[in-house]
Amino acid sequence: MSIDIYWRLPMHGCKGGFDSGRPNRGDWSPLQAGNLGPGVASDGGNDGETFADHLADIARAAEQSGFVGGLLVNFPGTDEPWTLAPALARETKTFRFMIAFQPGFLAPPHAARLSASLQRLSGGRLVYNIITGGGGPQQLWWGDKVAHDDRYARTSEFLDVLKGVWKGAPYNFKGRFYQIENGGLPAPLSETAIPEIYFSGSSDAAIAAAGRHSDYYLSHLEPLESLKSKLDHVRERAAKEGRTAKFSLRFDILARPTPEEAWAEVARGWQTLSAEAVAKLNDLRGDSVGFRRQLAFRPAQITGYNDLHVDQQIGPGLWGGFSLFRGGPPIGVVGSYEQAAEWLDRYRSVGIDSFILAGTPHLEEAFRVGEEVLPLVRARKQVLAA
Amino acid sequence: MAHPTFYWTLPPSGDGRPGRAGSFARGGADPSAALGFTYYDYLLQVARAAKASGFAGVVIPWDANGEDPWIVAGAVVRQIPGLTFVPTLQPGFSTPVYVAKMSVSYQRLSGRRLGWALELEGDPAVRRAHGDFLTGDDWFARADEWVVAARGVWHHDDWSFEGRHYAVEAGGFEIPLAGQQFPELTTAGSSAAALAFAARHADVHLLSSPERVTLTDEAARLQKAAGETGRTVAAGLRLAVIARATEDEAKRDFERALLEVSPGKRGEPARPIEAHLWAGFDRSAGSHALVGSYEAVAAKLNELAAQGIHRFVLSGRPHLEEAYRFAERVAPRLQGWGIAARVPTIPTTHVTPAQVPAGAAV
Repeated sequence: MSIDIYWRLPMHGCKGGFDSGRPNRGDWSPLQAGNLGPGVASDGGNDGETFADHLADIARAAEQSGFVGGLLVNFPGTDEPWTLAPALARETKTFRFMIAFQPGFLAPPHAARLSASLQRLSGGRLVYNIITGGGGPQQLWWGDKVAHDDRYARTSEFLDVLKGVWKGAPYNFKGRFYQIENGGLPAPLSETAIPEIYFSGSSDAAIAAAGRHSDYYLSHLEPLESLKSKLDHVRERAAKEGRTAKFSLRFDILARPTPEEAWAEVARGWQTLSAEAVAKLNDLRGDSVGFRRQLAFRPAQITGYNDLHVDQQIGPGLWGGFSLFRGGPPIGVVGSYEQAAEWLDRYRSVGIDSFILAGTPHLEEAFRVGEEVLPLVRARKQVLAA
Repeated sequence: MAHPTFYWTLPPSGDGRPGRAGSFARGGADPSAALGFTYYDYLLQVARAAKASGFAGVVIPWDANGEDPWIVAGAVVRQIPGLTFVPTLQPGFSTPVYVAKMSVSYQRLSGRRLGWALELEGDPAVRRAHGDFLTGDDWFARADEWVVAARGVWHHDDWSFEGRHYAVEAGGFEIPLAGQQFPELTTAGSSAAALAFAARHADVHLLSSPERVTLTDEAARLQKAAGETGRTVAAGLRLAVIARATEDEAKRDFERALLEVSPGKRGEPARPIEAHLWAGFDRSAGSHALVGSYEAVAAKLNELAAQGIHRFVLSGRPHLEEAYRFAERVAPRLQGWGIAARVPTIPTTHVTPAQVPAGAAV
């Protein structure tokens, strides 16, 4: 069984390192010397690059370095995946576009047409990451008033309808959230493959919906034992639906030839943090169960980066401070290339079948992780040899 | 008076020579798929043709049998500079905040080359097939809120709205998503409700009435409705163009095309409104056809422009070759096409061999 390893496209901008201070890649901070995509030309003017140009570079770096594709994240402040994916399809060869999206914003037959068209454009390189929203002010920003458990019920119904429509006409449906009369994708769109579905969410409602629909249940990095019990729970629910669950894990990696070099990067970055940035780790708005699970692995009071080690009794390298330097979940891997590869193998051994990795800056770290870490992952070598 | 602008069309559900739909339909039974090409490779060629032919933009119609217009618009934009892309959107198929967000990203990556087209009188059966069961006044009321909400989040960074169909709390875009140009909005639909909607929201409204007298009447009603809202809405026309060297050749190819193109939305066959202008030609609601010699077609376009048409959305099958034909044969006869401005001046340093004195270095 193959292990798919994805990279990430930073749809919210990027930076040259943990110590860059501002997001100097993309236009999420004012244009000045040192910025990229767009950057400052040698005559002092805007160099005419767009952030899409930089994302195209990252996608090419990922596919050339051994990643099967990349996750296009999707939040209020990001560029939008259904727009970037067709624009970059032609500029990549094998890169699979894993589009993160919330079902509540697109009618399922429309999502099916968008998807089938993208499959035809890209030669079948579309993958879904179904997200259902963190609730709170962000949900209302999108204009979505539906409460947490109902959102997962809607997601589940959305996927039922999408798959039904995909098979072609005539498709009829009447449910809680959607009604379809004589629907169905036309040929030749209906002849394309339905994308693989990665499904996120840690609550009971999420796991019920995931059991029914996901090809891969996707989790953020958690300590080994707590992740293992979560995976067992999802496996049970999937079995009830007569399905076999596969699992994917996403996390950031900061890997260098030696652990000392990796931790030196963390220390350099830590020095640039303001007191506000450290306090931000304690912002508890949103109703995401996953977010609260992440916060449980951390002391109440953080004074330095060494307060954020996780699972040290198993091995070095899990660290819970990544969210201080870039938007996203807190726990990731810091260490040597060997230490990083060992964590991938440890998670493989508790049942992870696929990974979505990331590093800052996303361009150079795609080359580094692809060239230095992936070849050391024993599970991957075994598969390649088989 | 400003000259009209000319847009071409990207065909979302296949293309081909009239009368050859079965055997060499591009995107269907043609040989390209077996060679590893996709219909999108052909659509890129059509967009190239539109650009090379001098059109200002391309419209992508919504077709129940076709590729999604948003994906088509995204698939070609980075390869084709200088063209505006106008995908047709369905307000009932996605939320206004999400479409606004998609559109902001398109403006960012394309350099502000996105337009929106809204089909206001779509087939209710097609809408129900996509989960949209609203009709009549309810449909227009929701479409109204859709545009209001899209503009609201576009132009503000802390915007709240409580409508019957949509509600947003503290929404809106921040830098760098904020500050992008809102897409020019094109509408089509001849009912009173459609014209009222166009008056409130559209920048361009494509007339679709099937008779000359009702076309003129529709234009007048549009201007009256727009006047009542204090806005300016430009009148436009969608035209399939069959222009040939002679009237007879045009008539021959028009008859070939009629054999395969289904009648207009009311099930009536194409019929002449007046010399060279036909109604009910295409599957899509209200599309007219312009049929005649190059001179006659150009004269008709000039006449329509003089009568107040500011936007022409043209098409022809096959869409690649007919774009080139239009540019070479019809456009030079159009007032305001701007060909003269686009001819590059020959550099004065250029010398022909005969001008070079013997023994001089070139």
